[in-house]
Amino acid sequence: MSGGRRGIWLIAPALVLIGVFLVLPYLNIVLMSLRPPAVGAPYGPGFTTANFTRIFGDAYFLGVLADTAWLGLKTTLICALLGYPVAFHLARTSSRWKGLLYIFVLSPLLVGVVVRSFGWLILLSGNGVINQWLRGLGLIDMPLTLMNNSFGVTLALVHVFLPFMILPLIGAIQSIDPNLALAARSLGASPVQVFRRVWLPLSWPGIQAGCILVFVLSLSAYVTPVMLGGAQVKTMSVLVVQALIDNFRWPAGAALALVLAATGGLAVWLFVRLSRPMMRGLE
Amino acid sequence: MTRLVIERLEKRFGNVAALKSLSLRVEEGELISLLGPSGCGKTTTLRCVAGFEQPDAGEILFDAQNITQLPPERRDIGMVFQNYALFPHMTVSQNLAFGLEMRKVSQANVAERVKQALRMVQLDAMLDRYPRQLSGGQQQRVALARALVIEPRMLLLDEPLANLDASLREEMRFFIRDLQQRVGITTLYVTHDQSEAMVMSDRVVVMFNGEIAQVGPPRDLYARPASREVAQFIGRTQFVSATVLARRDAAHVELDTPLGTLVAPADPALVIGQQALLVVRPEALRLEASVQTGAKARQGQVIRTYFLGGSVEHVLSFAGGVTLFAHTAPGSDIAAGAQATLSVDERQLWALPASGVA
Repeated sequence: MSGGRRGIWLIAPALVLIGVFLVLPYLNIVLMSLRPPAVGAPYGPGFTTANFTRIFGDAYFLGVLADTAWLGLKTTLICALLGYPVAFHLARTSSRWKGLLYIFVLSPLLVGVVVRSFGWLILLSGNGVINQWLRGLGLIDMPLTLMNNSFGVTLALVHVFLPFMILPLIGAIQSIDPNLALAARSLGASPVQVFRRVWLPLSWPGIQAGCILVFVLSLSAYVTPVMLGGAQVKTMSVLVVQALIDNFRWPAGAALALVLAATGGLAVWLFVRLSRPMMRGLE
Repeated sequence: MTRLVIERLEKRFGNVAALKSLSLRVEEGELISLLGPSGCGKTTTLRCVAGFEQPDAGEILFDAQNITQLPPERRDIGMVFQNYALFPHMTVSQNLAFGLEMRKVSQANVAERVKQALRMVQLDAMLDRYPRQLSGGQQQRVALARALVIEPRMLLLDEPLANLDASLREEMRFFIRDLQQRVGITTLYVTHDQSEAMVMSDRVVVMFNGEIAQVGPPRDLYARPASREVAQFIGRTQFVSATVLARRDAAHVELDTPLGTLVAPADPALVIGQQALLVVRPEALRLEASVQTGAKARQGQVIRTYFLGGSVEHVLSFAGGVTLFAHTAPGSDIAAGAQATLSVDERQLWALPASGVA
């Protein structure tokens, strides 16, 4: 069909862009991960699977992978719990402060990641603002460890990724007919039952989208874990950068990056699979 | 069966009074329509009865029980919404089971009652469909079944036919009325469509600006409207201004009109010498092509004719600047420009005090 052919020409620039700058580099990473290491060059001749067998045979790498996944899961859950009420309110309010509330929700994205992390440093460090206040109030003698641990990293990640949970949720909740809640009330459902049986299942597409976004983003976060996690919190992306930049072991770094990407992809696939019953009837 | 009593209900939204001291009784098993233009307070009344809206003053009673403060889930009502509000993530049978589950009915009983209710609306084959797989009329019937399967004390319907196309709307009127009478449930029906209200209701409540203008059986509202507004809102009508010459008896007055002297049924409040408004329905007028003479014969000139299908409408102008429309059978040979003779069936007229009418 001529229409179809013309369509191909329209998407050609995008295809070329994606091909050259996304697909080719990815293929290069895959190739690199299968090369042996070398001194004085990015990689040596021939192919090997040693880079992967080393990762899967090493408890340290597997531990970091598990920590990274757990960090992503924690961040996602906390974002969902904190984000849902905010999204629910924003989706349903007709208040004139609605615009201002939107700006508040988006505010974490208005500041660059490094500046934002420095902000958290000032608040959370041993002699930071929070510890000074608590000591000033006489509530503590010794400073609390609020950073250089998983608490600080999770807190900062939740802060920046919350908008990615809230925005898809607002869309999903706005598309739900408020009469459905009234119908459920008239049929004998209490407000709690209405939430469980009507709002929650019907907003599931938004919950799913938000959870995938936040999970994938926190899995691959680098700057926040490095700045607020210190030596205590090691995530996969930190290891990848170490291998590539500090140790100049490109094949090993490529393999680590692929394992991280595969883990994320697998987790997302599993999540979508398991939540399929929730999506029934919503297409 | 339940009797609904609404006592001096008031509701304000900001500085707009949506309901001004509204009182109404709906007897056991009765279907009452709330009829009026949008913004007249009919939907607000329904939402107060459902518990979706809290009135500022007044009381709502189901029999002797005051339910004004009860949340909707404890009022035991069945409600049908204009857009049906079926749960899109549940099948037809799950939609129906919802209310029964909330009432902790046993599993086996739920299945049985759901099937029964679906048979009642002739949809027992649609058990496992999702709402979006059904037509508008089918969704409507599922919504009815969902409201009735819980055997509520009252059925509340909020413009349930407004989203259907014209032919289906006519059919569903009779379907809903028939179902309501079979179940024998006390029903409050909100609509802005006067013919719908007339066909379906035991009594019709006409509302304007948060107040009841008139309550009565459809025939009374049509033949004896309490005001110009009610007459205009129900059925096609026209007005002729008149002066009361004499009272014939308790129910009739003699009127001086531009069409001559007429004796018409009248509001008992009319007194001699008062300005009156004569409500003239098209069926009170008969038109003949031949030019006749006589005391009661009124000659007029046909200005325009419209073919309506089942009848033809003629617009006539008479001496004294009066313009009236009258209907004839489709076969009539009266054409625009011709002279015609009008006769008035005085029993079908109705005279109102003209007070406060521009």
